[in-house]
Amino acid sequence: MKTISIEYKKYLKKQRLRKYIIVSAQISILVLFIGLWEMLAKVGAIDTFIVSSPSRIFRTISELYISGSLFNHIFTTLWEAMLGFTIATLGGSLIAIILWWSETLRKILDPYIVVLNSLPKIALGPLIIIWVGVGTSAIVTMDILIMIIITIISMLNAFNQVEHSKIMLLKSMSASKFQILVKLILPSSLSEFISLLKINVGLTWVGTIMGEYLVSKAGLGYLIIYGSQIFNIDLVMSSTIILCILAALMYFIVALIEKKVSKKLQS
Amino acid sequence: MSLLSLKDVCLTYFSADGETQALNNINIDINDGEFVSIVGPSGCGKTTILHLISNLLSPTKGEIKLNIPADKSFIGYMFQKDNLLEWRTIANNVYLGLELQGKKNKENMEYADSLLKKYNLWEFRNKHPRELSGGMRQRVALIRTLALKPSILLLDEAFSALDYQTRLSVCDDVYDIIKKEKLTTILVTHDLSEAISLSDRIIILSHRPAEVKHVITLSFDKENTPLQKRQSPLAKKYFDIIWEDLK
Repeated sequence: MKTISIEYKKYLKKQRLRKYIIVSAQISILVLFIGLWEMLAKVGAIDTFIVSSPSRIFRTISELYISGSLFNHIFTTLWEAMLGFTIATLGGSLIAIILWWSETLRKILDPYIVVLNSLPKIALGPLIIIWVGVGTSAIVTMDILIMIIITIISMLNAFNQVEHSKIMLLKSMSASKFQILVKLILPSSLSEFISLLKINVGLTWVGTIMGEYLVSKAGLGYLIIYGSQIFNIDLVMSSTIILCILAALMYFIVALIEKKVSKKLQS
Repeated sequence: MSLLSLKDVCLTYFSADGETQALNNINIDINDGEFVSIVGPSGCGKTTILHLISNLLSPTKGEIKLNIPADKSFIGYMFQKDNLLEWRTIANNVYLGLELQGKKNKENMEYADSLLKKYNLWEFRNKHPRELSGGMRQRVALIRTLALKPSILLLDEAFSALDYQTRLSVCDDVYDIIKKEKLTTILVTHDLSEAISLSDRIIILSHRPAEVKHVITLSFDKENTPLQKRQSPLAKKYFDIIWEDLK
């Protein structure tokens, strides 16, 4: 049984106190912000027609819920975001593996990847609509385009950072190229892959909402565009807030996976 | 007949900037059970010779002959860095070579385990490399190689990454293991005292393109440990001879 010194107890107490201060400050900012917003709207200091108000947002969301369309919009956007995320992450990683495998192919495609990376993908919007049609497929395509190039670049970078002497070691034990990939390159790049998941989980919302701005009949991006066109700021604000919550949730799920994986690696 | 022989081996590296001749007519014979060191000016192509022997490179000219049956012709290679895979336990690092060569059966795993036990690493088998000291990690790297039952062991500056004290003791340990397992060993090093304290024979190479400049056969008492040899007056004499040669 370990004895804890008084100094250590003091240290722990200080750390706990600090944590309480940080968390309570975080909550207070949110509460204060919402409270102030609502109060200013109530007394008429700000125009609710332009900035809406927490109570109006709450009412709008309840109305959407009662009309039954709330979850339809949420799931439409969520589905598109998840689909794009999965295809871009897995597809991009697969392309990175192929480019790692063939140095010649990598050199051939290098300038194209650089150009595609710097191209603003939104510029391809009209082309996407013409090529894949209107609807979910156009939105998911836009979403994939936003993520896939950066996925290829960062995974390829991770693969190429594996120490040369480790590759030589495996070669000296007569490993095949496939064995080097599976036993060395992929496990070495796991932490970069997790970081990539975190980046993509943010980017997928950018892609999906951009896609929905271009072409959509449902979804949170659709609600935002529709709301702004009929100047219903309550609707725009409500959709934005739901989007915030969804994005945060998805990020936390990925962060949780990261924690689990790194814990497994530590043990 | 020698276990390994290099006959008139030449190697030239090609790059966009031109060609560099690294080795010129190298002739080396290694006998069974011998410990041979290769020393030479830095950048002269010492490591290149090991790469050629272990088949990581092919000679531009000349030939390398191994007088070993094909099924026992594995050549172990130990690098300056231990190159242990951080996500694998010590035991799984040791089994790595067996996995790669499709030999991960009960018999071979038991042999690997016996090596871990014999060299005091058994209790660390479920630990990860970062939990071990540099000296222990290098011993694990050696066992990983030994688990594949190499006929020849190549040590490429294998102790250089360790701090001086660890280096002396790991050097003793590894020497002990090599003698117990009766391994034919070729060491490449820039540390002359290390070469003197370990070897039966030292091959001195010239500047690039490297040629064999001189071969010295050492006559230490076979029973002495590397550390004891380092301290003997004979070591100083050899040191002076090699030092003159390298100038």
